[in-house]
Amino acid sequence: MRNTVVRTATTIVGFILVAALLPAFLSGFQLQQVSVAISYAIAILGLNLLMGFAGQICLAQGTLFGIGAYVTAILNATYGVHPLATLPAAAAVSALAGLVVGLPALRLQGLQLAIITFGVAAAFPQLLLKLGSWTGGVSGLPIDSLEPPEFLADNPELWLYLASLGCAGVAALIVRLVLVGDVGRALQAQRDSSQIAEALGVNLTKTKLWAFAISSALAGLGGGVFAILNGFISPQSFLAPLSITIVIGSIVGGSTSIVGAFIGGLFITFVPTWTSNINLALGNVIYALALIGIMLLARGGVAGLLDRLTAALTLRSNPNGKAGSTS
Amino acid sequence: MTLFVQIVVSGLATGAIYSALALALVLIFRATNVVNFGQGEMATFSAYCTWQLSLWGLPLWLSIAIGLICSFVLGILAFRLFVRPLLEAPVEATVVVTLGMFVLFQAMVTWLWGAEQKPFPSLFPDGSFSLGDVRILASSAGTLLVLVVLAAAIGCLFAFTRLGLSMRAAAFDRVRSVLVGVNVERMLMLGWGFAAVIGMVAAVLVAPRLFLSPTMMTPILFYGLAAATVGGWDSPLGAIAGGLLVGVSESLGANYIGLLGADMRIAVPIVLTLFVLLVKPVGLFGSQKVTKL
Amino acid sequence: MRPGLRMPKMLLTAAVFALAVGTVSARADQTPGITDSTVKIGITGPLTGPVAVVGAVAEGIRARVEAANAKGGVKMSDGKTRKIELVIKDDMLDPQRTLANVREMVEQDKVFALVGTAATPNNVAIGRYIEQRKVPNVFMYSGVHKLNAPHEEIGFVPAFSTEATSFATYLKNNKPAAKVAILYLNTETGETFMKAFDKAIEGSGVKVVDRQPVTSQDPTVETQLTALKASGADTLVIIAAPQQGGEAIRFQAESGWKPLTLVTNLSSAYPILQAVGLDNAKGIITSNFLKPIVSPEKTGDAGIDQYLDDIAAAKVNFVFANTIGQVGYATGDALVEALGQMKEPTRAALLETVFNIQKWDNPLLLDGIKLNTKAGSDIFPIEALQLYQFDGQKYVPVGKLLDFEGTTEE
Repeated sequence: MRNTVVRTATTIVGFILVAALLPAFLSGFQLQQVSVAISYAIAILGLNLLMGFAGQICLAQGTLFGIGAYVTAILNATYGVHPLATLPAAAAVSALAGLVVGLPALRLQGLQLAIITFGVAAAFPQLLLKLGSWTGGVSGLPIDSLEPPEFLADNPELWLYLASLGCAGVAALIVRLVLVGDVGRALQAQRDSSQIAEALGVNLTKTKLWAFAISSALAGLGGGVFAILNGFISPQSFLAPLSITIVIGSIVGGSTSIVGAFIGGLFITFVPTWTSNINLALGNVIYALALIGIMLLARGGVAGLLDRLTAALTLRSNPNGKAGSTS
Repeated sequence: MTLFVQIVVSGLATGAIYSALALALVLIFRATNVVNFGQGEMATFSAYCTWQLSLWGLPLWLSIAIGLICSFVLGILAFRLFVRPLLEAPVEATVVVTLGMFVLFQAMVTWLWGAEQKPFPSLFPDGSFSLGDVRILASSAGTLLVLVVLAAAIGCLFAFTRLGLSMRAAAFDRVRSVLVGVNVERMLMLGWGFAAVIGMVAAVLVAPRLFLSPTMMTPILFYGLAAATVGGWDSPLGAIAGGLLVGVSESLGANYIGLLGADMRIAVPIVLTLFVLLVKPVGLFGSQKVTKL
Repeated sequence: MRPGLRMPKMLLTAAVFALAVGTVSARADQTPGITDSTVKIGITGPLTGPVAVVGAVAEGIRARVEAANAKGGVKMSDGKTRKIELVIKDDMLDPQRTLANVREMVEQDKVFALVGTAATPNNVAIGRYIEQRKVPNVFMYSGVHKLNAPHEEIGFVPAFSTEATSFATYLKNNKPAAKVAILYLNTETGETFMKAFDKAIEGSGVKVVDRQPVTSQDPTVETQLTALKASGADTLVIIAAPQQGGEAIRFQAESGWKPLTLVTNLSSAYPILQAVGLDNAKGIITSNFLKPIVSPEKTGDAGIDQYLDDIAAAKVNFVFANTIGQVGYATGDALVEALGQMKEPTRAALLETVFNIQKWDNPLLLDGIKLNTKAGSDIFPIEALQLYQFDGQKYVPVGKLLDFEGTTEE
């Protein structure tokens, strides 16, 4: 017990340190990209809860992300709501949408759920176009820029970074609370074996729906932040491959790790650009090889790698402290 | 009435394309218990190799023959390099690796041949024939014929031959198959090799219609997955039937459900797949499985 | 480290840091991206992904720029000859990535201007940013020209409303009672086209009897075309991307329908017709503003021959007959011309030049078409089109050059 508290405290402190130091070393543009990575990380956090802990393979996280983004944009562009004030609504609407997606999940097994959610992800951009009068159709929607307070007036990127970080902190807190509570244990039980879990009294329906709701709420929150960061959204940013990219981020980072979600977010935001800069034509090839390479070398994702590293460094006798390992 | 039949026929033509990919997906799943999200792109890559060979002057049949051998080798290589190391790992890792293959093969095609679409020679004569007022393309009919024959052959392989039985055993339970003398690794390798070959056949069949391009199979992926699900993941003929069903239902939905229209027609296969999953989860032509606790 | 040394060391680091930051921001006041010998230009476009065909624009620009650099560069008004340094980034047509690329090119690579930015939502996505930073975004590859950064950007290719009007004009003159079916791209392109088309046929006997949407994600167009054919139309207008447009051309012939078919120049390039079958494409009508280039052999036309030389030297990844690549090359030429003509080596001067183009020549534009803009009233550099009909082997001009100079609305 003490070990876990110490580890959590160290992780949090380490995280805060890195987060605080980043702005000093990065240019405005790079910091903006980190903020975008954070918005993805919030969505990945939700997916970690759903996929990593609850074992539900959802390939529509990008859709829920997009729903959150559009809720923010519509509330802001059409109704003049302040960008930050739209975020709870974005999370709520996405949670509802997630429940709708989650309903079939009650009856479906892993692969089947993956396929259905993939279909939803493929259909989403078309739906946005169809509802053009609400969503602005192909032309997209603008979002007011988030004005920084007086003392940061020269550094809007820093302000956006802090706002994103704040939202991410809230998201991480929610996930942590869920995991250490009854819901978290129920989630993991039903992932490991739904029949046994049910026999032990876990209400599978409630558990699965809760997982979908919270995961989608986080995706929506991430989407709302994304919309604010970009100042403009259009269906082109929410195609089916986005859902796949978020899954990739989740697994590369470590699908049962909160820190992993942030690593995953950074991976999917920066690595494609880096590889593209190395060689324009070969860029994607290098990205794909990097992706496959990470999977071959680090099964638990980068977070799993870090875990093993810290365990080895501190020579802990029981390195299996992380709740719910994926094996 | 003629319009209705024509809509069904055009649905069948599109469905044949879905069936092609579905067959390759089902084969890999049956033989190795893995859903290969990168199947379509691997197939596209092999088709490009064939195209390049024919561009260098080889006659079409020879290019295709060499292409089939190359795709077999490619399948085995993909298995040994990317999938075998992850046999003991959680399923998510394999999912990501197949997604990685999706990106890899599409990227390699773009890198080697550029993004322009290219014409691909058709195995079937151009033109169409008419049944009454309804026009049927020779290539659509030919594609379906080839697919049905292939599916039947694969089905027979799995059901009636020792090799097929060994492959199914290796996919179903790796640990215990070793105990009864199945060379699991070799079976899995063969499975990937065969699936790659079938994938290439699928690509060669659809390329003349869709034009050869790096993203030729990408929009089809979901439809292929849906078709395999509707038909049943352990039934090759079911994959064909599933593809046709998906194609026809989509075509009918687009033309007769005003609310959907052509742009939202993907909703029809989604609902169809969901319906089948809720009513008969193993697919229309699949067989019951027993799950262990 | 001894405690006594820590404080001064920290202060020193902070001072150096502040100095560095200060220097960087000071330098930002001078025109970035331009030195005595080079000028840096940024391009962002879909080099990979489903719409990678549009990436040919960047390649075409590169070919033209490399040719200019091979001759020593562009001679500018201040007497210095500068080479153009291109920074090319991939955005897969995702507006979010376009914005990220533009930010990187402006803040990190410090480009002087952007050229050939592809697609309408992408240009809209960067609008607010380039207005704030006052970065010129010249010769966008977009059929919609009036976007959200009117002081910093200008288009190049004719607006799709121009093409729509040219088709409508043809129908009014040659098939006044036409019943039209439209296959339209479900994006700005398609919407702009249809709006202009509807407006142009108002009051005439030409009527639209059915329209069907298509996106670049659609694997086939059987569904839409079957419906269009069933509407009883005798004319088909196709405003779609190359893959779907090509499939539609093939369908109208194979299905026995064979209506009078008008195809947008996006989807009518010769390689596409080869892919769908030259016989199937017989009779289709399209528009173009570029000279038809049908063979890799030189023809004696200086512009075409130079183009062929330049793309071979630059080893571009598109075939010579690819019209998108040709547009890119023409865009590159306009860029070189603009850089040479601007009165000072500053961003404001570049904008002034591109907003007031006085009848510039361009090697690949048809004879009779010249670039023309006027600040405040005409933001469309190209407003003329020639219609062509495909006779089974090549494109034959139909009628005279249609000049809509000064009349394009948005």
